[in-house]
Amino acid sequence: MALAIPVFDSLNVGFAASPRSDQPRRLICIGNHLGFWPDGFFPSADGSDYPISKTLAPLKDFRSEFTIFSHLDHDAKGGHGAVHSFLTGVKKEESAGFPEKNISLDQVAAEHVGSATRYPSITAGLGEGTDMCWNRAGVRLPPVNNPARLFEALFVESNAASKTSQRQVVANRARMLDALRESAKHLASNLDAADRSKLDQYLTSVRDVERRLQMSEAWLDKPKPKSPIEAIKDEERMQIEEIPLFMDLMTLALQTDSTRVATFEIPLGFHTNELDVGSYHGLSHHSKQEGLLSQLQIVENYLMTQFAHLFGKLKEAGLMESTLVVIGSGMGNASNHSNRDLPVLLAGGGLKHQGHLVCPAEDRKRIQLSNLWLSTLQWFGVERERFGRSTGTFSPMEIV
Amino acid sequence: MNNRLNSQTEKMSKVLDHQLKYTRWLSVSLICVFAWSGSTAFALDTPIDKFVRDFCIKCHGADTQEGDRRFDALTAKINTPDDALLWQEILDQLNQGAMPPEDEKQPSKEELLAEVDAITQSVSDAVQRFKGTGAHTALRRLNSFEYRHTIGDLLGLNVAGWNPTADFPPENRIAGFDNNAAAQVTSGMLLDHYFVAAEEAIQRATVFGPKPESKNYAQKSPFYFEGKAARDLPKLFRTDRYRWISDKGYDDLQARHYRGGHIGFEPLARGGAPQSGLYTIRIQAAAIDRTHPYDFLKDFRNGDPIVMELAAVNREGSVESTGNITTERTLALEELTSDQPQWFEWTVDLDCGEEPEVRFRNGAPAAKGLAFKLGKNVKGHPELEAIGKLGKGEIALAMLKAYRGPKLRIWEIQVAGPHLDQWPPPGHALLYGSLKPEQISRSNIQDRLRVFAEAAFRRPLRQGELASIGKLVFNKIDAGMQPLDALQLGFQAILCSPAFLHLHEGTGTLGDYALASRLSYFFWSSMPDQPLIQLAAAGKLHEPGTLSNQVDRMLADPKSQRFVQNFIRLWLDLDHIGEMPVSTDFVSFYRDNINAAMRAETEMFFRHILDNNLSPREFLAADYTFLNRELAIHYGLPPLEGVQLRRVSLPQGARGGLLTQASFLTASANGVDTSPVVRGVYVQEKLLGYTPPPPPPDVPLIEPDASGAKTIREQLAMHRANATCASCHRKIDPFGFPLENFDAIGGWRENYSKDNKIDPSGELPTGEKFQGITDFRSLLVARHEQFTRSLTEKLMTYALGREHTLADRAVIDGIMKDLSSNKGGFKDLVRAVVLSESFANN
Repeated sequence: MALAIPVFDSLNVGFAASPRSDQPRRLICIGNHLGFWPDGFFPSADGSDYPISKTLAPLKDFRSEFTIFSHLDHDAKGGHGAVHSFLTGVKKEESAGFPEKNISLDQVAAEHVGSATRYPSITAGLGEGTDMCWNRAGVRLPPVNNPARLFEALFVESNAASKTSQRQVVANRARMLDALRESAKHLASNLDAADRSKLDQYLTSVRDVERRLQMSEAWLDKPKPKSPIEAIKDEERMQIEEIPLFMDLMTLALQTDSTRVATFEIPLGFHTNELDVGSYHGLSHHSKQEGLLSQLQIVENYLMTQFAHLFGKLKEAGLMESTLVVIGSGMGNASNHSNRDLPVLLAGGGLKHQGHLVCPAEDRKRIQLSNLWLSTLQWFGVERERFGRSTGTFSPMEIV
Repeated sequence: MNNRLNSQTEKMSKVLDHQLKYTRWLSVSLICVFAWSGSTAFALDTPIDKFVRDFCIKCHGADTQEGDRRFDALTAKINTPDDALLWQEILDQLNQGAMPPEDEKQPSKEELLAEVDAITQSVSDAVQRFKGTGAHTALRRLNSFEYRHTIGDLLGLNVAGWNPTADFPPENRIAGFDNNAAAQVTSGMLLDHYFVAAEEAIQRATVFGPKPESKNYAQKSPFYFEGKAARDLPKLFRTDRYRWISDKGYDDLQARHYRGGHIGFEPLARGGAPQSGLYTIRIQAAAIDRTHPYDFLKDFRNGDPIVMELAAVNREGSVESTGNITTERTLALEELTSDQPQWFEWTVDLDCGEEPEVRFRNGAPAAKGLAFKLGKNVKGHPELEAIGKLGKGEIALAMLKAYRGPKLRIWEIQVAGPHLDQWPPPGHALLYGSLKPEQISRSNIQDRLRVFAEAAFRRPLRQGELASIGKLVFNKIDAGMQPLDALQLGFQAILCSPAFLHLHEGTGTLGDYALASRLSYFFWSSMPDQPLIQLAAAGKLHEPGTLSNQVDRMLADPKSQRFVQNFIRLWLDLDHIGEMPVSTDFVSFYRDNINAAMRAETEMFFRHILDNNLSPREFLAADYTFLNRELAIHYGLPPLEGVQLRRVSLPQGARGGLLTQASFLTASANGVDTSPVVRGVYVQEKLLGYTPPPPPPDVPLIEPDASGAKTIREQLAMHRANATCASCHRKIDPFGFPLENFDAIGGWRENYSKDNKIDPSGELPTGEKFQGITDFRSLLVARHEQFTRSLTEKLMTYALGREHTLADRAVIDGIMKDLSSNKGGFKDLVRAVVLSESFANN
């Protein structure tokens, strides 16, 4: 069922056989708006024995457990304005031309999980995030940016009174939705076709809310898991304190099966002053100046250290084999606002990793990043033949 | 049939749009591909085609399609709106003298004129033929901005304090405008937010009970507390390593989260104002040590007045990391120069839950950072040196106490209110009339629902329209719910129902109620008021005299400021300002509140031209602008005093017109550096109504390289050495070069770096040369008619919630003609839009 790309047979990532079948598959996606300085990020040689690059150095202990891809992208243009297509393959401005709009990788996976977990997905991030996660309606899902709130959502049980009132709200809302559906039908009788298609969107929204109400109602009475860590309090924190907390919480969310899909967004406005360097956006416009580049390296090194921290935690929790971690950006080179040759790293998932996989750079031979996302979804268990701009899968994988 | 018409209409709406965004561009070229497939032969050999064949096909034919344009299958007779689009583009290019490129074969002057005449005639014939298909705004949803103000006006709520749309997903945009029905998405996520907003709106508007008494609250120094007194207060009120309890009868502002410092108002710190309404706020304050001995303190410009900000903050559900604030807004700014205590007084609208906070707007960094800086720079400052060695816990406090730098000093704060002139407030009266909770029953519920729904739907109700919501309420009562609660559920359902959320304009000539809404959403971004509804009910609103009077009345209403702010915001993409974090190298951007001032400048400028009915040419040519002290410094102009913006005549030179206003220059940059390409596109898009085509695929990007010490201009020159790149860039970059003298926040500069001098000269694609911004402005002013046309198109787009079409083109032609023969002003132009056929029909 998977489409192999002939020229690449020799370079299979080898999405290998499923790990233990009792382990559900999980997905973590991490996006950094400004990407990574290409000269520092991409290793100078390919294959599994590549010399680790300066930027990737903090991940060296895990080198057999991830693959770096060169020359993958969505063929997008727009600089900052195209970064949001990282996990979608499609810019929001183009979404009308695609049947699934600009839905992102994580949200397709989340739909697949449905109500099997309390949260179909957890979208987290710093500050405003970077517009990474999009649902089927073409609407962006903003990140939870306070670790205390995420902790609460995962582990803190609402009291009985609040549960009763929540149930009341759910019941009332369900009745209201019935009434609104009737109202819409009444209005529709006065409309022509163009207007009616707009009203259809409204009716679809009504159904969507209904479906989600039913899903959350089912979870209302099930107890939340007990937190294995001390409660995370709501307090003043630096962003560099928040990141490790989020990494831990994402791991815990997967471990307790509160969700199987988690995302994390690092915005353009990441508080790099906390690392005693200049503003992130300013540094990204380094114009190859040594002073700025060295500061940028401090930031990127810091981030890689955090990802290493995440990998460590996932291993500790025994999740690395069942969790695929996607790390990257919709920005290829922030200094010239290029959205080509994106930094893409895939880790874990019980795959046989290939080190540095250099994909064809020539125009006609290039591989769509969407193909990799399609394969990721198939690995996750989603049965589908297309995603974003996919032209096939990349690369062949065995689905059990 | 309907469908066919609609697709026809859609195509038509693609015609003649001068604001093609890149995505639109793609869809247009897709259509073109379809139009050509199957037909490769040349069309009838009429004069038009001969011209196209002689001068255009070489680059826009079967073999090459520069700029994605291909004309070899165009027929002289325009058969489809698609063809009309292409012909109009050709016409525009010829009129602008932009085509054929100067290095290609040129038509003689006679040939050119004959061609332009022929195309003009042929397009205009097509316009007449296609006119019947009309343009139609599909069921348009209130966007977030409109929803917010509609909720505010409908229920009399203070939506400046409480923003019901704070968490709504962002609206999609077409050509910058976010009220375009075609692009709008309604999602389950949005509906979820509607539920929450409706519940809170009804709850906020509901105020049974007696009229709250006006109360007086006062607080004298100290403003910082410890122990028991501080226990339930946010950190900002508490003493710590940086704040202490004063015994001097005054306090200097100490900072936690706010530069310069802030103090809260303890009497209202536990939940904020109990009731929304007008409050009088008085503060006794003084500016201390404005002139200071600390050269290392770059954040405060030595000798400046101290800017005191009165803010309204809401702390509900807040966390410490945001300074215990969930929402904040500026109520007033005041410049203080005297070191003697003075009283300042304002009357402001506080929302329920909000409390006042006083801030030192242009102060030095927050206390922690300030103490650190002082500690590092004790040398040469005896008051700091005298502190000597102290423990870690004490040194900061000692530093701050000894500090001789600028301070905002407060003695007392008084708050009195709410001052309510109507009770119950209008929103409550609309919902419940004079009913008390226990009086609400089956017998009056239908009535209450009807009254509210008529107001919410902005028109009389249709037969049976409320049946389902009535049923919901009665079923709930049957199931044991209190009648008041059930009624409120019904109100919420009305606010979530499609008739409230959408403007239903139908097809053909607008009914008077739909016209009332179209007018009010144009000028007020909100529902029609009583006079408009009454005129609609009397069937008089559509009469030209009535409409014209309403334009004057509505523009005189303070609510019309929403039109000014929102139209400018969308037209000029002002949301770009600050969207990309502005580099901290631009100290003044943050310290001097330049962001707010630059927006206000453009808004006042626009308002001035509108209110005085000045020629739209003024937008380009004005030799005055609106500045306050800080903007004047930013522009390098003679000093002014005060935070209030006022009209200032500009000296001959760089500044003048929209082109050099800081908002324009900041919105077209990214907060760090500038690009002549980006600004070149922006200038043409915003001022001339033309969007240059996007770069072709796979063109190499220019990578800024300061190590090679090349200027962006030199790099672009290299880029243009490539002929493919040159064909577009010679039409883009010249519009950006003259703005290179302005940095990413609109400050003047002569050099990029020490060795890199800026060259702002250039040559327009039409051949006119300019040395820099002053010449360039003159060239733009000479194109003021093109500017006015593009402004008209944008007003139309904003007013109608759709892109303009071929049929509108004829309407716009008419407006332009009248405007020019009557020497009309901008207000005349706005009025003409309202009186136009396009506005009257859907």
